Amino acid sequence: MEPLPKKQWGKVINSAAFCYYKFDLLRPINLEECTDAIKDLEYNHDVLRNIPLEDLSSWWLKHLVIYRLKYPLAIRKAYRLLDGFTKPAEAESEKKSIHRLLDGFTKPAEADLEKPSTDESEKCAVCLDKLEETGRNQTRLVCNHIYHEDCIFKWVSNHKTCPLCRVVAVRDCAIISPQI
Amino acid sequence: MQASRARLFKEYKEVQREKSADPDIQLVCDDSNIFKWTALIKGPSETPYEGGVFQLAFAIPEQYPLLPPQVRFLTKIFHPNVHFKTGEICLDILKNAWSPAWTLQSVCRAIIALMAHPEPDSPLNCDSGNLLRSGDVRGFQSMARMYTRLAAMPKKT
Repeated sequence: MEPLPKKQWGKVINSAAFCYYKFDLLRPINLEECTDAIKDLEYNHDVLRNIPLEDLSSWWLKHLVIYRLKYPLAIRKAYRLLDGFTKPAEAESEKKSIHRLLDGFTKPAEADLEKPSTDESEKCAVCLDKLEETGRNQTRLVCNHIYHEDCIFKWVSNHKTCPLCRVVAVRDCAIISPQI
Repeated sequence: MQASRARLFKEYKEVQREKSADPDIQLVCDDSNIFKWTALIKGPSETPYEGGVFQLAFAIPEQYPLLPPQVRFLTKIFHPNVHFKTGEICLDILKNAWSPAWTLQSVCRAIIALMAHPEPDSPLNCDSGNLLRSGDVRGFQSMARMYTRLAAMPKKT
């Protein structure tokens, strides 16, 4: 695997931070979204400095960057980040577990995630509009409650909890404003 | 601004559609301003407020539902968690425990629940709170009932 140029590191960290932010909100994101976010975040390094590096670790890399993005580029990013942020021994075992994950990875995780929940009503509790309304992204929180992306982002940027069940849906260090 | 308006309009339609669903609550939107609502709620049974009809005023902020509505009693009520003069209500979901999943309708239900289950340890009406805290339930009930009769019941002509 070819190493990522040093110049790209800023972008990697930015995208990682963005992914991390999005991760706790458990939804699939695509590369376009990610690159858009990177563009936005490039002007916002102060925000990134507040994110503890140790939090940008294997856990989210495995689940998000690989499970979600599934881009070869992402794996490269993951490797580079692991090399930079963890001890060599840990990085090795993480790389192995990344491969294990990839081996067992047949169907896209998105398919499961996109499935609308049947227990809750099909309305977004923030705007009371139907979730399936055309052209609006949905976000599923860790507790499986689904909202429109723009609706729930407005709420979690100040509160961190799911409006319906008050589960802490966003972690402290994940609160950044991607300024999208 | 636009989001709050759209959401309130949804709630308005819901209220119109389910008018008979909750006979204890009657929510009415101001004719000219969707950010101003009033509600008439029936005092819960087996409480000193039974038989009374209480009017609530809602002032809804532009950031609704990210911020809670401001609700106060327009009808005088003797209750530990309602300010006797201003009608201000001390209820967690109207302050720090607010969540956008609440609606004006469910806020009314929460207020009815508060009427039935006062929290004398966080009083806005100290006299009322002290009666309950000192164990004088009877004293509290007769005061509350008196004000219900005086302020919340239609005058017989």
